[in-house]
Amino acid sequence: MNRREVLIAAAALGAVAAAPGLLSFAHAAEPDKVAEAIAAVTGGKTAQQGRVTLTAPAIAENGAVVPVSVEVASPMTEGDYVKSITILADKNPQPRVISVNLTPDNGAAYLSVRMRLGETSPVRAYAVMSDGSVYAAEKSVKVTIGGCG
Amino acid sequence: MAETGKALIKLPAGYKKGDVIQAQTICIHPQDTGYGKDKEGKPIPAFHVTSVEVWYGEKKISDMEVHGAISKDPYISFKVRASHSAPLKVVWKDTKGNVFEQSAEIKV
Repeated sequence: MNRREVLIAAAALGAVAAAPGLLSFAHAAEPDKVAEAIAAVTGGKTAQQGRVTLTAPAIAENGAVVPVSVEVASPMTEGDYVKSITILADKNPQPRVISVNLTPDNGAAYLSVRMRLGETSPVRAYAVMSDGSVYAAEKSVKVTIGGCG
Repeated sequence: MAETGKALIKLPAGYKKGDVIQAQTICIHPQDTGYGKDKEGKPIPAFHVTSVEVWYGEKKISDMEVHGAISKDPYISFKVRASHSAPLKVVWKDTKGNVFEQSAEIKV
């Protein structure tokens, strides 16, 4: 940890101490809530790596507004398209962020949002294909000021 | 908040028939998660968008399940294939049963 990181960490701790009502870590989701949200999307299938590109900042200075984009490689034809894209954040009190159902008329499997992160957390993107296969990508986003409230 | 429900759809310029274009949408909304507290420490009840539908002409091409973790004034962007001239209509619904709508013309 260099001097800059120490200062950032100290500032983050200060913010927590100053605003305990606004930022309570007691809100973080239980791990089984995350597993439940994942199972609801995958239907118990093991997610494969690849095809899903998840774009999110490595460090989000403001957890209230974190830009996240998901793109899934697919021809988006009647016979082969992406049925849904779901974004989850493990450490949010409610891990589900957004889920979108797509059709071939979308032309491309793409979703971009601005989302909240209560604290540093893995962000996951799941894509369910028209043949039922599931693909996923994950990225950890470090949050210096949480956006829980 | 008087402006809640005011919505905007932005489409790119200079596309032609068959192109896949990116639509950007914003709906003014407080997006209270239900986990926050006001200045007196009282909990702020959940008040956020719960669903978004995307209609292209008479056809619903997409729908979304939205949670409080989407930031205030939800920005949601998606793509659509500009296959014909028709309105692109987006419908937002929230936890209080409000329904908001906005349309933009796709012209090819």
